[in-house]
Amino acid sequence: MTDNNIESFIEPLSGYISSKIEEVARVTEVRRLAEGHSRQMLLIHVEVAGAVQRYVVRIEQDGIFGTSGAEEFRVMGALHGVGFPVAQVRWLENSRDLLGEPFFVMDFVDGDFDNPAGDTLKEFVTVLDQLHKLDWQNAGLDFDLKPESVEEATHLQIDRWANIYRSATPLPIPLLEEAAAWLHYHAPVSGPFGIVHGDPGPGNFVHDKGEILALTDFEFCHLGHVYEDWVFCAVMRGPRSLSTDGWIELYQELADTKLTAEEWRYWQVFNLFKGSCANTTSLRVFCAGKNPAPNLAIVGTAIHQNFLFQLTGLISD
Amino acid sequence: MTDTRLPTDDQLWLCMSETMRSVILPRLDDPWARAALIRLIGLAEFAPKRGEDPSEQRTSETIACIDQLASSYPDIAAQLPAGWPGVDQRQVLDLCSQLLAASVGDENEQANAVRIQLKTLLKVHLTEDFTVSSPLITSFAGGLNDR
Repeated sequence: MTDNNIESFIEPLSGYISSKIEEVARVTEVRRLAEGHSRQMLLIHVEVAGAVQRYVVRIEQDGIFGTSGAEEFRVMGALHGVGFPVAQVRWLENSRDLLGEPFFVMDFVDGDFDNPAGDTLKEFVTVLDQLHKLDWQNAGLDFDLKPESVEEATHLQIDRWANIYRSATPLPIPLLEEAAAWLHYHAPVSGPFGIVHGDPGPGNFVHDKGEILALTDFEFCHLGHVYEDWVFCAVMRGPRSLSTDGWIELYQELADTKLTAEEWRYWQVFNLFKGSCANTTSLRVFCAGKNPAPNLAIVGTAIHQNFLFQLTGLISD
Repeated sequence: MTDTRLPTDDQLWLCMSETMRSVILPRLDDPWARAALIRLIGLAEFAPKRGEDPSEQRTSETIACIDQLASSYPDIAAQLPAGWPGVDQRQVLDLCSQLLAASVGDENEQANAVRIQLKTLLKVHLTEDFTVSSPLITSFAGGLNDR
């Protein structure tokens, strides 16, 4: 289960980190850092030669949301290497031998845990815009999917999410199949192509005194149409900090980006489709008894149905 | 439960929900445990509201809807799988997927009929499910629903 006894990780993590740094390391404290449905996030205190260092351990959860920790580790490492605000990743463990799931370890970035507002949001929009425009090839980023155009990228992402849902459910969901066809039919043939974070907005960045110290949660990061991010932030993750209209104003002011009503609708449908597909993986894990946690049951039923309900409405309008 | 000497499933779910609400939750301080318990309460209240499995009824309704479409449109009749209407739920849902996807971007009479009749029926099924499950969204966000 997600809420396993995290104290039991102390011993194996002490040995793991000792072997990585080739020094005796002792995990002295472990606590849950944030709630993640697809990843468990633990803050650990590690004592090495009398000094304490803090790390975050990001642990996969039975392939929920169909994303890979290895790609996330790679992308974060390259971004950090070019000075982008992201935590420095340390070690990737692909096997399940140690903690029962693959995981990676990164530096802990401390910040203000209050909901961001005002200038912090402006700074975030600027940083996200920089991510979108970063020359990913020169920065040494390596993605699993490497489309060459925004059109190809969008079709690839639709297929990616449709295949994730198809492999997670025992029966087809016709309204999702219709949505996939709708997205393919209306897919943009041009537009800004770049690094898409995939889950941007408040809750997924660390900030302090108006500065963005780190973007987090890169598991959905990919190459694609950057409008996916702008709409996702304003509609799905951002409303608790700023109204959708407020976000739209920031995009125009700081990123010189203004979507048409049709573009907005398209990317709203896309994000609801992505969420709805991803959420089916929670139910797969729950129903298989691998992780009978209540959050997974809810994500796989009510949250999935809510997204599907909304996207079907948008397509029908 | 037909043996009236024993509690029903509904009574057992109520027992779980009420005990979690009034006995366990007020004594729980750990935020992670509280969040999990509130979600568990939501699920314990959701489970008895689901009623009988509607799959069989919905499959029959969907077959009837497709039959009606097939009687008006030969293209749809040609897509009916062998053995129709004696087919399983997966075959029916596969056909629904095929018909809905093929109607995207098409404004002809058949595509409109698929949207008006078949899609409407599937939306009714989704609405039925979501009406029962939607209180779980409050539970997910950490809130208790009204009893």
